[in-house]
Amino acid sequence: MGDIIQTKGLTKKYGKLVALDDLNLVVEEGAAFGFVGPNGAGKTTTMRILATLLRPTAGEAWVAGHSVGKERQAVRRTIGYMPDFFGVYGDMKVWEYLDFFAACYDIPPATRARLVDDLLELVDLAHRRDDYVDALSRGMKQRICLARALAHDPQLLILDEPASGLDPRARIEIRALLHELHAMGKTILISSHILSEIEEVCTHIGIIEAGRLIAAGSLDSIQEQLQSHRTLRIGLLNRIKEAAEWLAAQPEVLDVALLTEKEKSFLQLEFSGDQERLAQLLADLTRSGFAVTQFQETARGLEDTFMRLTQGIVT
Amino acid sequence: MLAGQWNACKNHPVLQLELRRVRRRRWLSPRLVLPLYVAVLFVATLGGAAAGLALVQTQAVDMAPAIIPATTLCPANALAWLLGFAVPWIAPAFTATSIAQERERGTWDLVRTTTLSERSLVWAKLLGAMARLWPALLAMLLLIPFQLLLGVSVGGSILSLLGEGATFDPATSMGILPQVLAVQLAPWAHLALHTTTGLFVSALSRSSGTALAATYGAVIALRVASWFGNNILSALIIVLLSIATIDPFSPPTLLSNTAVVTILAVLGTLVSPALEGVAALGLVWATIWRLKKE
Ligand SMILES: Nc1ncnc2c1ncn2[C@@H]1O[C@H](COP(=O)(O)OP(=O)(O)O)[C@@H](O)[C@H]1O
Ligand SMILES: [Mg+2]
Repeated sequence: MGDIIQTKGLTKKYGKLVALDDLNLVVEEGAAFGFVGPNGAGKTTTMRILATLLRPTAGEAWVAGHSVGKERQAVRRTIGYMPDFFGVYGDMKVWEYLDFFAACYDIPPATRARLVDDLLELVDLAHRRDDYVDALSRGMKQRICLARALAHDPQLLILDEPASGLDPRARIEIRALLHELHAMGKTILISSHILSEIEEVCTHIGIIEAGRLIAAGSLDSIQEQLQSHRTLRIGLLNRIKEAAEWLAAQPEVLDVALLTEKEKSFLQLEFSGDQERLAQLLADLTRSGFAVTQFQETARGLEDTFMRLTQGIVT
Repeated sequence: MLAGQWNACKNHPVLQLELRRVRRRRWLSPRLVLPLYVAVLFVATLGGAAAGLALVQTQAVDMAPAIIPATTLCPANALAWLLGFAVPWIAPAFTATSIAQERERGTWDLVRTTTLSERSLVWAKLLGAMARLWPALLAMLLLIPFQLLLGVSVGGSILSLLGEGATFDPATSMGILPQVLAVQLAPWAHLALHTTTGLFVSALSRSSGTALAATYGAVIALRVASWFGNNILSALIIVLLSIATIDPFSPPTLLSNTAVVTILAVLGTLVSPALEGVAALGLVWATIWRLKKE
């Protein structure tokens, strides 16, 4: 299957602020792609560009082979977009709301009534058909907005933080809905600043930080990338140069550097082994007679981001 | 084809949404009061005009100036002037908020990602805003014939009385009709200019508050500019007019001098509405262009 989303050197600047920095994103057709990154990383900016709502400063993007800048109508027919912040027409009833958007997608009146009922069934809101949209809870509004995005049966769903601000129950409902949509064959691009929130739904993950895509791939391959690369910081009482040589000779150690910080010296090294090998390294180090005062995995770069995202720490 | 266009326009979801809102509002009082008021005014105007004509026809020439205040004070005329002034100044409030308010509420992005074209969206918003003012617009339309009647009866009478023989002449009286008609265009041209300015500003604004303030600022600026433009072009026309009337060397043409004068006078009256109409179309185009660029 082909790539449904492709961006090349996508860059967006707001004045001096670089919101997106040379982003190259590829999403395969049929994937459930989790677009993860801390707040302000550029997720919304990317999605708005893909949804034809924003023009990039540089670079290009294609959705289902259509250029986002030049073939906007074709792109709009392909996507169902749900923004992070959206409003509803308060003076509309639930069915009217869906009917309105179906009409906006040029669906003939004869088929609309049936479509509206089907959509309401899908998002489990059939019982609220004649209520005003404004009277719905946030979770329900989220679901009706999702139903709206499905009105024209798009190939690709672009969902910007659909789970944020929802109570746990509503979150579970959205998640179940996403599973269902993915099973129906839709490609889904979903963003979140908390990895654990969408991890379960996703087949692929892309991690974005400060406008750059720092990792992307299937869930497994990302985890592999993470495990095979740790940065360690080791402090020693003495014989620091000797220890550096000893460490450099170890098979899993990729790189050793002697660093000084606040007049204290320590070693920083890249380590490619897993947790067990890590424990083994410390044991070997002490057995060789080195007086270890500090042995620490520094949280930096991808790992750091991943940790924060996994735990949902908002920066 | 035209029917297809009309249907597409009528069934435009955004326009339908606006119309539904207009329908939901209670128009009970204007719906009842307005036609009544117009009917009363009609009788009053007719009475005033008849009285004026009767006076003029008795050839009491020095009575003529008295007719002017009497008829201008006539309620129909007053209402027409009031609407002609107020509607163009109220209407842009609706267009200025139309897009900006949807942005503010967060519904705009949803509509924008649908397959509705920018062009159809802009026209739907414009027509939707107009629909909100339908009672006033209807009244303005209904008052046009009275204004014409008034213009022809009073203005025409005076014109013919000032002419040779100082006698009332229905033909000369009717001759003023094109000018009177041209004058009737002014409020509609203002309406077009003001509403499209509002729409354009709305397409640029994030909040309806700034859109409103900026719209009225822009409308005032545009009207000042239009006033200057009108004066310059009118001056040109007056020059042409004087050449047409004074030039003794001009060979006799099919048109008499008075006909030329009338044509130029009508053209002079049309300058301002034409300028504003063109500007309005330009603004619609600019709004569509802006949305496409967004
Ligand atoms: N309209 C805007 N004007 C100026 N800066 C903006 C605008 N929109 C977003 N930004 C900035 O761009 C960066 C990326 O924002 P965004 O894409 O919303 O991040 P995310 O969705 O990942 O939280 C942030 O630093 C944000 O402050
Ligand atoms: Mg965001």
